[in-house]
Amino acid sequence: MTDNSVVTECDLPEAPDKVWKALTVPRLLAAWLPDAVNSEILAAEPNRLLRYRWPGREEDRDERGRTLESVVTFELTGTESGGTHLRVVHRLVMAASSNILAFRGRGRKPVTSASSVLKCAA
Amino acid sequence: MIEADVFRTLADPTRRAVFERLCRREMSVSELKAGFAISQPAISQHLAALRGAGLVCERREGRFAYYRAEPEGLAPLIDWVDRYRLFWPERLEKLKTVLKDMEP
Repeated sequence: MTDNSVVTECDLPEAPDKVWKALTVPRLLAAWLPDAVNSEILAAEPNRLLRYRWPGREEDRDERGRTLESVVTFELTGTESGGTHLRVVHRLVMAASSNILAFRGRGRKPVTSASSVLKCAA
Repeated sequence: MIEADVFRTLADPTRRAVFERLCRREMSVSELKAGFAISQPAISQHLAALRGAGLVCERREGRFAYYRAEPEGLAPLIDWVDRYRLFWPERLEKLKTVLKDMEP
């Protein structure tokens, strides 16, 4: 466990350029990830990497309208079979040095891992 | 403790820094103040907010008060992780459908 993030990975039969379209064409994105349609894009390298600022939920905002920031990064890697390995990293942005969730592991109750890598079948 | 309270409390960078210092060990207000360029009343205010959110607890010893982080208070952040551990696999299933329906 290294940071405040959720990592989800999956292998897709489609090539990276097609997956890239599903991530960036608003009409296609809206069909599976409507939350991201109006989100700020923080980084984009066609067919390789895309980073969105993830909209926080309204109820998480503080009295000054701030919310705990989180960022989603999609990493696309071409596979030998012509498909795409997609890695989604959703990171809760805290203070630069902070690893607040790691602390929980030192608490009284044993806690396994807050961060996680999930695999889903293609 | 509801999730929004912990999120709101930790949204403040100074409060987060206070919490992180108290994760390392128990401290008095004056020990805590040493690491920050803010006044003791300001530190006390942050401590009150952190205690209110269940993230810090206080121990009194005579005239002195000591503070330490309360790891159980982080449960809402664990919930955040749990929520997105379910969310992303569901969304990727939808993505697979979208990809199959796309023109070549």
